Amino acid sequence: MQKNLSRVNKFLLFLINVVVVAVGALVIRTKEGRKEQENMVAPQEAKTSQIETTSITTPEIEEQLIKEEEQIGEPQESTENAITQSTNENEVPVASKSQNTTIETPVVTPAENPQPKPTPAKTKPKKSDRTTKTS
Amino acid sequence: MKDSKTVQFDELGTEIFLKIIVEEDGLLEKASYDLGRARKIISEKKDTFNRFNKNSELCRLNKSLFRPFRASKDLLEVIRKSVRHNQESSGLFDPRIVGILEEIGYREDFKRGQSNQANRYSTKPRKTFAQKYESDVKIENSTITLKKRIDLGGMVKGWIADQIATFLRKQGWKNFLVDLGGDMFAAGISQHEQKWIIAVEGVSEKVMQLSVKNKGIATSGITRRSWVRSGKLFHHLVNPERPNFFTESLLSVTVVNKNTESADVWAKTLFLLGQERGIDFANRKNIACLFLPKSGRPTVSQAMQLFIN
Repeated sequence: MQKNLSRVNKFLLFLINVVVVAVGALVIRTKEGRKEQENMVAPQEAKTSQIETTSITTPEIEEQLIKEEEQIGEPQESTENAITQSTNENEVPVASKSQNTTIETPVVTPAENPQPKPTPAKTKPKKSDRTTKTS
Repeated sequence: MKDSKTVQFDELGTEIFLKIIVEEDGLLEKASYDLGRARKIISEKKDTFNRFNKNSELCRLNKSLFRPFRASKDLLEVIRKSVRHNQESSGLFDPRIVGILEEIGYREDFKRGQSNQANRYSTKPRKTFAQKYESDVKIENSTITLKKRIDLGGMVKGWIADQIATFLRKQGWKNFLVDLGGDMFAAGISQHEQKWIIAVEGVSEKVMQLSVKNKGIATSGITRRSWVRSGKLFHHLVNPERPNFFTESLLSVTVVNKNTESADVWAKTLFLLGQERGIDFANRKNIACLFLPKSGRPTVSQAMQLFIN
């Protein structure tokens, strides 16, 4: 009787071991299968993820990129154009007086009945007699 | 519109234009005759100051360093004035830069040797002058003793323009224009019975013209006498304080002044000062000037407003 019990116990143990091993194998396989599915993404998504991971810029680089974009947008004038073409703006800026100037501003006596300044009419420039230039 | 007589020719390495406004028909012949005499004066003056002509008086003076040289009245006058201009410009106008000009390749008349001469230039750093200009130039009676070679090209054209203006005035003319390659004296009024209208190269006439009477006008800049070697820009406007620096941001400076010689000297001085310092200096000294940068709008000093048409 005791011998039969020990045999049964051994057999039960053996069965339990088999079940445990089988279940464990099943769990492992399931996990691996899920990983494979996860790794099987579209090629574009892979590139994007790679770019995103590798395109991290520092604040300094971003600032530089912004500056470069702004400069490309600005019109560039060549030396030749600066000589032959003229400015298209109608005003010539006058430099402000230096703080150290010793020139006295002339006093202007206002007229008794000051006339409103007429709006200057747009007229063609007079024909110049000569042109001053470098030589 | 009044009558006028004009003569145009090449001399001093540039185009010369002389115009006399004739009040009466009977004076047309006299105008032609005086223009011919003026042309001869220009030719004679050129022979005195041309550094590219080995036989010119200036070249002979430069070969006589440390020895008293008996100079002509013209050479004495111009050198005396050059010393004064050097002092007034705080050393920026300095005729001794001829050595530097030759080192950077400006050894021949620019029209002839532009491409060849620029190849032969020294890359050694150039030094500033150890002594003041007046220490290297000694004038006693009618002799000059030089310690360093000089070139007076920075003021001679303006001086000659004034000489011609003086000559024409002495002949009784009140209204005339003397134009020596862009450096000019405008006397009286034009044949249209208004002040002389002068355009500025590089500035649209729709934006600005100058309206002048009895004034000298001169423009200094690098639009014609500049060259590039090994990626570096060189030009003839050498700053004696910074002989290794050649500005690239400024194209030219135009000055209106009491005479052409002063306008010529101030135009160069203000160019070497640069726009910011130059405008400040011009406003303090009441000099009428216009700065034309390589890019951007031209800027004028306050005194120049009087001459803007």
